[in-house]
Amino acid sequence: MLDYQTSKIEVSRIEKVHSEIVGFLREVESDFHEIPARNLALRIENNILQPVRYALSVIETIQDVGPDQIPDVILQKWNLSILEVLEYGGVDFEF
Amino acid sequence: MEVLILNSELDKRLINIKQELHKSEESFIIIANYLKCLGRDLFLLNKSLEDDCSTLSRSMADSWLCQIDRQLDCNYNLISIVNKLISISLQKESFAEMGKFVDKLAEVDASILDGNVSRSANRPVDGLMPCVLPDDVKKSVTQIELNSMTSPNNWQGWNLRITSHINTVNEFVKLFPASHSFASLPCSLSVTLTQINRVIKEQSKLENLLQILTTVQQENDYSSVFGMDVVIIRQQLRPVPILVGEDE
Repeated sequence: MLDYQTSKIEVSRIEKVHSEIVGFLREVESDFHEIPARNLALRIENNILQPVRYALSVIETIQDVGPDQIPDVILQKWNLSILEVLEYGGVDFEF
Repeated sequence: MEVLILNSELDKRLINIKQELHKSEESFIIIANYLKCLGRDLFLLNKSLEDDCSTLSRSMADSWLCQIDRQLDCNYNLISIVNKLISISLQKESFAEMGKFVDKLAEVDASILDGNVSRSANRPVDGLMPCVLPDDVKKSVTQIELNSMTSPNNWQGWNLRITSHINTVNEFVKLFPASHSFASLPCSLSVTLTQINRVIKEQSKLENLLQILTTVQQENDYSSVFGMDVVIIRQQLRPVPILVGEDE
């Protein structure tokens, strides 16, 4: 079974790092860099921050309800979401 | 004088056999009533869950009920024999014509004496309970019969009901020795009921989680985050079994 408390600390750290990056990219004011920076911020928001925030909500729900009270089919899906965030920081990009 | 003493001893034994057979009849009827309640609950669950385990359990409960009916038939047969022998004995007539019936009762008598000596399950004889049905079991069957007047309105209620069925069936498992003709049925039924209860527990968890995820809360509004999970839960959640006429 996953250690949800440790996972929460790590996922929160990932969320903080990427939120700061997105904040920085949105503040870029340059005719040449502004549009690419906003595009990159949007991609980080969709591909990394969204799954990371979902994983964070999942961990909080599991901790609120209790892992024993979560149906197997949902717990497996949620554990996978948390592991993906811990492993890839969001979505596993295929290059 | 010797014949009179012998007859008086025989009368006592016959009356004792008759009393034991009536106790067995009462016990078989209690078990049959219980199995009818169990069968009804399994029918409702099977209709809702549509799984193999509840189908199998229904078949086993039905098979056990048939076996109980057969035991009751044998019991009534033995009671009529013992009544006939008592009336012959009272009229001080000869047992010569009743030889083969006396042989049948001899097995019953031996089984009853076994139980009195060992204070445990007697040797199995058709029509006779291997041991006395404990009062606790009778009470739990009565409670189940009362509960079966209505059906639970959520999966948690069904979980509690099946747990009480498992406890009762486990008590029946202890009553019938392995050599008894239907000893394997309560054992198998206990195993399949435990499996059904696992499925019901999952349904209960789905039911609770759906309620948590769809209830709008001030602090944690999960509804937007867990939209896809709610769809999955709704797909997995089976309708709560309800008796016809209770859904209004």
